[in-house]
Amino acid sequence: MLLALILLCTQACQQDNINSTTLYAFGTLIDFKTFGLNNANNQAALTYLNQQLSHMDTQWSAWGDGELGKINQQLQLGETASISKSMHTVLELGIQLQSQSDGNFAVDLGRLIELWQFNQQNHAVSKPPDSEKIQSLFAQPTSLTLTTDSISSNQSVILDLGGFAKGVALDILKNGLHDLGIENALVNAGGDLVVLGKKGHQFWTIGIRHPRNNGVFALIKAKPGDSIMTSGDYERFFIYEGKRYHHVIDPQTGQPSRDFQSVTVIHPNAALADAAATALMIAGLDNWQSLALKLGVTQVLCVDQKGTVWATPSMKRSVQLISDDFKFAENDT
Amino acid sequence: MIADHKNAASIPLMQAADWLLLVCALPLVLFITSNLWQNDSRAEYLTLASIYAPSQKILLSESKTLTIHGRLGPSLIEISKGAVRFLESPCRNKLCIQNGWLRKAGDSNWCIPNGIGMSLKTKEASKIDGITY
Repeated sequence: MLLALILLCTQACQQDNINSTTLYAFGTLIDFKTFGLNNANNQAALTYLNQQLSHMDTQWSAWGDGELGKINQQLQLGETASISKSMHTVLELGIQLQSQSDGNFAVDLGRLIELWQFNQQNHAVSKPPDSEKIQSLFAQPTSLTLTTDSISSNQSVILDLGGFAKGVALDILKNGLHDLGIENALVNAGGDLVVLGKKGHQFWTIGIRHPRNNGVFALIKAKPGDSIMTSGDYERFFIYEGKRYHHVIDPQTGQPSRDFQSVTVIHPNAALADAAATALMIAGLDNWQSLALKLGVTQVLCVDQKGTVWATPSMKRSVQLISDDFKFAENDT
Repeated sequence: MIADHKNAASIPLMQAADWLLLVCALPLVLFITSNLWQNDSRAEYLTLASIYAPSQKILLSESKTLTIHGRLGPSLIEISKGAVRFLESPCRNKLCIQNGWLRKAGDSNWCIPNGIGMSLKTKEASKIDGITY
């Protein structure tokens, strides 16, 4: 009886201790939750988040007026562009992940994204681009040269950090919040999230979105420091002649990936998890396991077009399926 | 066999310790089942956020329509019978409107072109703290 009462009280008290705020940045909703934080510290954390998100959103936009937008303008003129130290760090990491993922994740896909018009906030396209136009982009291979303070390339390149920008941002925010003394928090940047600590004695509980409706099909108890990143074919898409065309574009073919509806990756490094989720979407059924191994991500969950769930053993132990629409594959590893 | 029968007849069906265990277990069972119910509970309020304004919490108990201003102009939000949807939007594709009604806690919808997002929550403890998508 006493134990049950303590549990009930703890649950009620823990919910009272959660502060929840929603911000808008990176073209999406940012949910911020803290546990057991007083109002002054919570406000300090919110101010920090607002400043950082606003700065990164502006500076990293490929088609905006910030640093990356200006770099792209210079590259298209055939000029060498100067870069800041922080931009060098981001681009170096992106190029490294591009190589590590065998090109399934890429930072130089801006032209392809532009051709599909998935870069436009007011996306109004309802028909795929001509295949000749896509092929013409492959005629001139990319050549990127990055130094500590400059970047140059051929004029066919538009840098686009969309495949891992939110991951990089979440790594920065996680460290910044930790430096501010925030021990227990959750930052959810439009479905890509990072957790600090726990909510009292409980782990933060994360749901994985059903790829075809607004519900949740699986639950994860997030360990402190984990980031959980999902890439899906339902975020930006259109249907043409009964076929779904979405924003995760295969750098090798110029076409949207086909095998998976969504891929979720858990890893303490949010940038790696974000890039891996994109790369594994593209790697598809035949190659996701070998690529996950190469990238060093051990917690991966992929949903194929039939709703079959392919998961690594480590992920299978962490996740609970709560929808009858989904079943684990019988022969996954 | 006969001895066993005699023993069984002499011992009460429920001893004091059994009753104590039952009384102690009952609140625990209630606690666990209440957690399960919460996951399926309908949303009680709406969090509405725009790039131009801090998020606001709106109870879903009262049916009404409200206007929120975004990057392209005003979006009309309809609340009815505990559910919410985008009714009108200045965006071109109207994907936010096509997503239809949201009812359950944890559901969310947003209009990227107009910079407006909404998510549904319950006042009670929600089992889910965040959704990855």
